[in-house]
Amino acid sequence: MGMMPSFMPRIDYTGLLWVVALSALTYLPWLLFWLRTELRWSEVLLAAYLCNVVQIIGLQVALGLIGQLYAMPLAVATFVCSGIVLWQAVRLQRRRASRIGTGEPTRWRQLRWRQLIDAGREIGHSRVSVLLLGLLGANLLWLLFLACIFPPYAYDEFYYHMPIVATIIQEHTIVPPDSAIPYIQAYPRFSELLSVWNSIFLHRDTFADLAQVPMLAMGGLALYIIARNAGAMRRWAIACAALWWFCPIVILQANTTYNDIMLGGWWACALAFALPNSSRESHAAQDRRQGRPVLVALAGGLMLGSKISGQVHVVALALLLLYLAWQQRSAWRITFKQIAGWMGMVAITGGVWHVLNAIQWGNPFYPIPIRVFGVALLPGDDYLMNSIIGGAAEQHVAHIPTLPLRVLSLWFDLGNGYEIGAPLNGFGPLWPIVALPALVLATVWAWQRRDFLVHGLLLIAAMLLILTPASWTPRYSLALVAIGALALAKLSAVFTARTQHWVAGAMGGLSILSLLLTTDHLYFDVPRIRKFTALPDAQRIATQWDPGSFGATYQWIEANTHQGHITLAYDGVTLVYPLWGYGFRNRVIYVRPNDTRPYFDDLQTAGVNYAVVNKTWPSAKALQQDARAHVAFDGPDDLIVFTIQQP
Amino acid sequence: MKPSSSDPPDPSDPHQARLMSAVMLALMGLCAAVYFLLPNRGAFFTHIWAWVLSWR
Repeated sequence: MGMMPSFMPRIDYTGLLWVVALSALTYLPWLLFWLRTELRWSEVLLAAYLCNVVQIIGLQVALGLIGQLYAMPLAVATFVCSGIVLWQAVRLQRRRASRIGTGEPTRWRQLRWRQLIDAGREIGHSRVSVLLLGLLGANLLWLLFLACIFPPYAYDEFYYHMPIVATIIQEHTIVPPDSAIPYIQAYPRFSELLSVWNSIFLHRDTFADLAQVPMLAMGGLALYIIARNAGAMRRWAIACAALWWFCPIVILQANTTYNDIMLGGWWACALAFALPNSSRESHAAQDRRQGRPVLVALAGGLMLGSKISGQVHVVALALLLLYLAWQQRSAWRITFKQIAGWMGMVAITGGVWHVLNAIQWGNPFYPIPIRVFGVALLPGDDYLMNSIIGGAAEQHVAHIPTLPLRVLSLWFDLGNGYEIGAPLNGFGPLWPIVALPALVLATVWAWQRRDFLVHGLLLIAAMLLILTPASWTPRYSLALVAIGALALAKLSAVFTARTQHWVAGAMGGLSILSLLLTTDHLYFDVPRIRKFTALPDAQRIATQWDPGSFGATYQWIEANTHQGHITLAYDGVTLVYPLWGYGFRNRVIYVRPNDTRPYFDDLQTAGVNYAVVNKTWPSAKALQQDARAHVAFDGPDDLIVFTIQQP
Repeated sequence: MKPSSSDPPDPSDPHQARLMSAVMLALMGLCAAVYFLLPNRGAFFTHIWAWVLSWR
């Protein structure tokens, strides 16, 4: 750090290099693996990203299930797995080259550079495309900078996303321990596992918020592929991708551990490999050879394992596959067999949380209660369901009577400014000004041409909106963005060249506006950026981020747990994550109060040094009445810290 | 902006293309008017300027 030129921001470059190198280690073999197929470059990049994420998550799930999720076994498993992928890529390519004969240059040598050069030329001629890609690049660098200088900072990150990450790193297992936060126990956790990957090797959260930044680029790449498959030229396809790249809620969530953009992004990836290519006859056998159904299944599995509403998205995807089979006039028996096989692959990829929930709660779909005519078949958690459904958010739209009106009006950004969890806005100006007219026009135009793909997708989108809780909130309906891109792509065949220029030019301007509106939001004001740029990494923590929310008690804990080997128990604490301290220094557990024994005894048995409890909770009263518990700190906030002497 | 030689070819039905183009631009104009004239837009946009100034 001392050798760093003064103009360079104070970032842990060595740590960043480690994280990037390890991720590249898993990505590059998959890139070579998919390059041997006939997929286009853009599809190869996306397929490699999908497999890269499945590998990272899959290895953590496998090690986590046997309680061995430590840094070293994960590194060894990653080296072995990537080695096998690399070996397979080379072997399959050699076999393919020998089948073709020695006269033809192999794909390794070709690597389809010609395709890349053509793409570069076409894009280079379009000023709007260059502008959009330049804006994307600049925004990715900005998000990288923010993710490196700030700790996890958003409310839900403190509440449950980062506690999930910290608990997994602490317990070395993905089987959740007892917790006061129901999300920790009954929540699909694939997105969080990506942050575990970015944190476990360095044993700190410096780069936890970096884990989902690639999805900002990759979701747009998926939209680009959807547009290219619909027959759009590259420059128009880049404009379609801008719907994702410059969607404010996508940008805002990209450097957090929230998982809305992962769900919307995986949905776009699934569509990128599921929708037919208009420039060639779609043959099921050819698609299978290229691995498209497997890629769609992987994307489906990632949706299933990332968010509770992923289940609805998987059903929607299955309906889409049925619809596509019907369009291609496939035999029903074969179609149903293929869909059943596909669902099996989805379940294997993403169903691990359902298995754990079935074991723990007796209901794979927990916390969703399964009821038939009011009779409860499988138990659920109504409190958790209400908090997921967003009972509090409902009040914001109570004055808008119907779902279609709510959805439509929120597309115009009703709230004041953007923020990560904003219930009333998030799609930004590109969606209502470009995508909405495109959806209307494409629906009419495609109807005339008897091309019902957009209509089929809109019906599926309607089903998603009806079945997804609080779907009127833009961040819960990001699946729509891919459908908007398809509609816009379809229209490229009907607009005059001049109109395409105007629309693309307008999109360039609106993208700049989107970026400006997103950059200017409440989390990253200038004093905060200046302060955190100057801080050493070990002080980039919650109490520095927001001393208002993390006041005296949190500061006392931060100051008094530096010696290490400290176990903290909590009860009635909402924002738990800062209790872990920098570098996941403390052990943080939940000890459930028990009516039959003194709470102190349970805390002592669990090896707790400090109990952090809400003053108004029964556990606080129980400890106050127990002569063995001493008040270590009684702050002006709602919390009180007790010392639990070990025998 | 003038179309260049590397532009996509104009659609085969010029009449329909002109009609669809006009409808698209009209719809975009209408939606842009609604978006930018919503009552809370003033506060929405003045933030940017304040944020830019705060860097000084």
